[in-house]
Amino acid sequence: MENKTVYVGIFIVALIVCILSPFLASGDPDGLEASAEHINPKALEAPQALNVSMPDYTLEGMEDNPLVGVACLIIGLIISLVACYGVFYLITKRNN
Amino acid sequence: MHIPDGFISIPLCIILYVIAIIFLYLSAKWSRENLDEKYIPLLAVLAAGIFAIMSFNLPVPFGSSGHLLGAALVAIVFCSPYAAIVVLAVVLLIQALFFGDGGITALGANIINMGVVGGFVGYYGFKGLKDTIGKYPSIFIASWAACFIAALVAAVEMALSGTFPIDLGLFYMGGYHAMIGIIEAIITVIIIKGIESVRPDLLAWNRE
Repeated sequence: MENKTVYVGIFIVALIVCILSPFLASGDPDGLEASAEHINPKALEAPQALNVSMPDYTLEGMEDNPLVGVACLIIGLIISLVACYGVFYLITKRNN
Repeated sequence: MHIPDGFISIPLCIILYVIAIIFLYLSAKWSRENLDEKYIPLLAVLAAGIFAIMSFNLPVPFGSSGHLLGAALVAIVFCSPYAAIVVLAVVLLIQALFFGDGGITALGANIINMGVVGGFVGYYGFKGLKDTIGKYPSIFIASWAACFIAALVAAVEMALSGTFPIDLGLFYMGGYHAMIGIIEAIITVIIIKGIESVRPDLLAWNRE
């Protein structure tokens, strides 16, 4: 199997995960949140330093629409791909 | 396991940022010396895959859920914890800046817990166990331990910050992540088995 096919295959699987995640992922608290709920629930109310554009992988006021969640995840997927490519390109540039 | 703002004291946040930057420098140095541009697309799609899988929480017993961290996966694929540290740092920065998943003040802590601890435990666990128990059992145990030990380190950081008492922090964080680690282990084995079945040469241990 060619390199390009492997990379496209991994990307397509990641894309499918992004499309399914808002519909199928568990809404239960993660391990850290669940621990905080038992030990120190007030810590979960601490204000966050940044006002982010897509809080909790959705848009404010559109939390009930899973398609908005899909779009946010796909945007994050593409940013991750491009950013990681760019960072490793810059790091390894001197080799080439 | 993404620590939000407010869980780690500011002095400890600063110390953890400095430690994370040192590891990022070492990771960049390793990458410059050991990677050439043909591996960049694989690292980029793995980063995209880790971002996606991190969004997909699976339920675990006792009302919690968890997802793949991915550092053990990248570290085992590249036979080095350093590649994993850069990939996780990029993904964690994006999650903090755009999605509020993990606080920006706690980014250093999150890079250390999930990237550095996850990468080192994942790779050296695999390396130390593979000749004794075999390749895939060692990948399973090392990636489980990467998640579990990263959670214990997070509990210690929160204890030092006065957020969790150490005994309860270790008990709950360890307990939940012992279960979440099974998700980490199963997904890591499946992905590496998948890569090995189609392109074994992409796995660094097959090139050594």
